[in-house]
Amino acid sequence: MVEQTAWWGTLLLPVVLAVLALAAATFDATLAARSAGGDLRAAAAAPLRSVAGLLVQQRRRTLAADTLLWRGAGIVLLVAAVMAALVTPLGRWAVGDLSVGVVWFNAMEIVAWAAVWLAGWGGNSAFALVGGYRFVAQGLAYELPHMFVLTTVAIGAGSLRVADIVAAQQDLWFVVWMPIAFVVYLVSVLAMAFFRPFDQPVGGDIGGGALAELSGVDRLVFVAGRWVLLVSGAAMAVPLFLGGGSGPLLPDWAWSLVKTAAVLAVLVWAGRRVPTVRMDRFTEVAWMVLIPATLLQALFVSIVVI
Amino acid sequence: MREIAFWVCAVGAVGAGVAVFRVDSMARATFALLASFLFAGATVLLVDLTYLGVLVILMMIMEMVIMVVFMLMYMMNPAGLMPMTMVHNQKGSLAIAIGTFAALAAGVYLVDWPTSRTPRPADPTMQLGTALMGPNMLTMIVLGLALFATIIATVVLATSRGRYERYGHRLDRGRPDDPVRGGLGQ
Amino acid sequence: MDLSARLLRLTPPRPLVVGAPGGTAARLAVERAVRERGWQPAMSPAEANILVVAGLAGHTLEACVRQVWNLVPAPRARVDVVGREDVARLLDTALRVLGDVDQQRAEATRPPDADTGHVEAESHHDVTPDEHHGDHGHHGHDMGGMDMPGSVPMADRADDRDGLTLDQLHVPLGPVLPLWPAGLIVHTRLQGDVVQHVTVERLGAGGGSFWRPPGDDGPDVHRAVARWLDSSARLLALAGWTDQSVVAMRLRDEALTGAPAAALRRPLHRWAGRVRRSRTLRWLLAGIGSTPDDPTTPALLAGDALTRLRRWLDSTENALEQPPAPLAVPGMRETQWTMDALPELLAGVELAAARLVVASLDPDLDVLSRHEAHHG
Repeated sequence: MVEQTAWWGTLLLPVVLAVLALAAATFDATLAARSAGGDLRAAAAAPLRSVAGLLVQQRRRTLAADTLLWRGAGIVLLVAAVMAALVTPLGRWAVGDLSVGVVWFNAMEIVAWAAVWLAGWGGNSAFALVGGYRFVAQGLAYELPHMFVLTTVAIGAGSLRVADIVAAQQDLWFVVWMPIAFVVYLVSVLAMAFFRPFDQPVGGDIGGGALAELSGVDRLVFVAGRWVLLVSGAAMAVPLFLGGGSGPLLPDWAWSLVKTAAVLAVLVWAGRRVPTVRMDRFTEVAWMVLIPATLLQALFVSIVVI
Repeated sequence: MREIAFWVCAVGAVGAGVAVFRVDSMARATFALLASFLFAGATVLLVDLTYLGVLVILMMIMEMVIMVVFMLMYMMNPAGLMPMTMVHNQKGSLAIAIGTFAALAAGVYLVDWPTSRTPRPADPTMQLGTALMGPNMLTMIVLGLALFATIIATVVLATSRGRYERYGHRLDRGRPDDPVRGGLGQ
Repeated sequence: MDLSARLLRLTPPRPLVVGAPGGTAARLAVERAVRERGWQPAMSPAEANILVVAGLAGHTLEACVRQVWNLVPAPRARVDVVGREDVARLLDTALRVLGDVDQQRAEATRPPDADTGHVEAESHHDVTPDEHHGDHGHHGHDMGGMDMPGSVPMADRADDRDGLTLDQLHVPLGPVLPLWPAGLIVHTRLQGDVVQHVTVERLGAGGGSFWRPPGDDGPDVHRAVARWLDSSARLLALAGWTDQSVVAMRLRDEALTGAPAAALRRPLHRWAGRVRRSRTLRWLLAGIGSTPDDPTTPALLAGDALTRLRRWLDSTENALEQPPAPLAVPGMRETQWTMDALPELLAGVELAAARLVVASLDPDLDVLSRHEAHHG
């Protein structure tokens, strides 16, 4: 059902991701403005103005920085975020129809671990280093539940290929009989993109954490990578749990976009409602509550499949 | 095409491996090691073992990020601000390395590798898995559990603070005595 | 070029607000103006383009501010706000300076300010001495012959709480740090992100506090409410709940302009209810910064960060209900106790929790009189 696009699909992918990322950033800015009681229309223009501001801002150098690792971190994050969406189908077309699409997605978002740590380490700054290490701790907390959720989906569909997973949801979407997996997946998407409320690695209490020393184009690339990672994660939720492009009336690519936008909106909105979850409290919850929950969900799914 | 890719990966893996010992910074050494592993994982992809290849890439990235934490923690001068040599016992290790390489190269060229006329199966990963584990599935499962139990046991033995430090001599403390309170009060 | 000029005009202003001791009124005015214009405050010099010094900066603080100024990348503008009245005018000037292409180009190529004075550990801002915008280190550390880039010595090692030997970093928190009490410097010895040892220093002369004006026969209801809302807003912002923090700042600004209690009561009640009901906040703040349970601890600072936040919420609501109720605004005794107790409270605490502890105690250093400089 899901087919591979022609070569120009590869060029269209970053554009679609950029548009979705910008839309999510705009939504986030309008939510912030609404609680501040400010002008919503001005807030909607804020992300594009930030891009303009970062383009013209001077880049910084720090003393004894590891420049290759530091400046490369943002590029690595952005590239990995785009590649993570290679296997996500837009309706009926995916850029890459890998036989192990789910594992590929997992591998590409793992690259964020290295990227954020490098951004924290490379700048030779205490606060940035603390931010980088906070993300490693966060990664250890969310990754196992995330992997178990992906395994559960693969068990439910009997295959690691995203096309087969979409095809297996023709009668019933996975979100209906794997609700725990869906919720844990959404939590892990927020954690992998270190987005609110898991934004401790770039938290304001340490001057921006891994972002503390970045400015100008370096900062733009890193922040863009973070938003695109969030979009990639949210976009993957659609074929994994929400039935891909299926739906009445609209064509399947439109449904994919609508569902992705809905998941993004829920993620951005939910993130603002909760204070920043600190890893010294969350790790126990992740290992003692989320892992058993996902394992039980996997057991349930295995029994149903068999 | 595959040949070119293989040679790129091979040279890349060896070159990155050499770089591990040439750079002065521990962080760069770890990521050079990661690059070497990624090239090796790419060669697995080249023989159509897609699942294993992508899994190797995934696992190696995760492991190297965790390892970089330890390499920076235990090594002096992790940022390479001072030049340092990372090699010891140069003559002995050179002899061992050359000897091993010679032995392996001899093996590669002298062994009579089996050839087969049967076409490659449709799903090599599945076939490989079935061949390896099919007749021994129970052994494999028990082995996995035993390995997991060993890991847990070593961690429990290694930690200096166990149940009795946290909960008191009679395990009667309501909340464990940790330096930082955890999230569940466990 | 035209493109640079257009991008400069589109640049969103990101102010980094430095609170000088005695500059609380100016800081509140600046925060209000920034919020009303829809500007997002910056959390570090790297993302800032306007440096706003609220209040009169003394000698030490000026040295720190100049160091921070070196870290702000172009386009940048600096503004010194001393009084409440000219905030709008000064911010407009800053905006104009930001949009001026020629001036910003000159800024970008100007060498870093060399007269920051001898860079002692006390006069650093929130980042370690390893930071520098230019490529000269003007840190004259002696290293005994080791040829290190930037003349920076290697960190010392010491035992940490888990029995490992880790590097120690000397990281001062403050005086230039967003959401930090003005005039406070906490010199930490950091291992990883665990604060091992703390000494407290105080900048600046006491000139009387904004929250407790001297010569009054008791604090004003609106000021008291604004004080509690200000403390809550900072704690909530540090806890990562920006939306509720911004609502608290809005209510604080309304209280300060003397809005009638009736107008404030409903939104305040709604906000306080939301903060109180949040189970996540309760889970995150419980057990942070528990003060010792003995009679020397001031009653207003008893409990942990969650208890203190709840106390602020209750006080705020009660003050608007019954105006004649005694307004227990923290004063000199609480601040003095905080300055003395911070070394024990912060030892062995992780950095995030340390910032939450200081924010939940929220010492107002302006109440301390001129001659009480404290090194804890």
